Amino acid sequence: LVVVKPIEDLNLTPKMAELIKVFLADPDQPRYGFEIMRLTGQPSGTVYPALATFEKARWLTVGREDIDPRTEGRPPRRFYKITGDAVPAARIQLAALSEHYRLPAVRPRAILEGSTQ
Amino acid sequence: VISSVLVVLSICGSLVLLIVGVFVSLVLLAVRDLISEELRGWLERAPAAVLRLAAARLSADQRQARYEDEWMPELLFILRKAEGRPITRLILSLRYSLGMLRSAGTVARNLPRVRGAEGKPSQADIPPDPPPGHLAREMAARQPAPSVTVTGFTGVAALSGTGTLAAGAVLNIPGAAALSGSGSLTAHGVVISAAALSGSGSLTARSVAGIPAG
Repeated sequence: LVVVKPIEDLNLTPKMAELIKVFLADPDQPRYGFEIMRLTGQPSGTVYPALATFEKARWLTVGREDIDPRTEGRPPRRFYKITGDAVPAARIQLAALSEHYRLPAVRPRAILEGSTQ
Repeated sequence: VISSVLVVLSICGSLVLLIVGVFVSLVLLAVRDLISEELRGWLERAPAAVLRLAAARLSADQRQARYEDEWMPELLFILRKAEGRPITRLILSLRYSLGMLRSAGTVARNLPRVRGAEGKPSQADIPPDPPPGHLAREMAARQPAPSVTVTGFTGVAALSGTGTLAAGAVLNIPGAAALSGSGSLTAHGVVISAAALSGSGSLTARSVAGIPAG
């Protein structure tokens, strides 16, 4: 019997949002820690705690690179993939974050009234 | 005569000086190469050492899941990718390791301490050793398996050759132990860290840790 727990709610910070956007760009694509660092420009000290948070909240699942260590001369890396449930949740959170940081609408009349006073 | 002797002496002196100079230059060249080689060796090891320092801030089970399965393979990937570019290699790998050192505490706090999605149990998942005789009594109650026979397994540490493993024994094969051959093993609380399981046979256990996929 396999019990699948639902994903946990997360409040995305801008840096976490940047990171989850990498996964949303192609949800089926496995991503590696160093690759995410390169794509987001964030250091390992930011990326890995965020990945651990996402993993803990079940937004991401982990797996292992399919390589032959003897041929490649290195062990397989661990990859992360966004879970199906996390895709809509992440999109909603990103939209909310974008709304939060959106500039207020410019009202020409208010500006004009302000300049005449 | 005196002047010709002086000329010969000066030529000889110059030759000696030249030979000494060449010798000293060769020695310096060799020493310089040795020093640069030594420095290169230390610099190559620095990122891994910093990463080990970061891993020391994790608990034992987290260390297995993060340091051995994620951070170290990633560092080796970085080193391999930048092969032939020693300065890039050093900068990238040190940047990675130092970042990990800075964030190891945060990572440790955020890590799940239960069985992860990749199916590797943490130490907390492994049941504690039963009291002496407890499992033997339990197994005796479940006939017909009063004892377990181990045949043909060869390993580095605890298990080798042919023999009988008493029911209820907790088998711990640490490090890079290998379990291979044919036969069957049934035990409680088998812990195989970074072990390879190969050959034909069967392994039945209540808690098996560290057997690579496939």
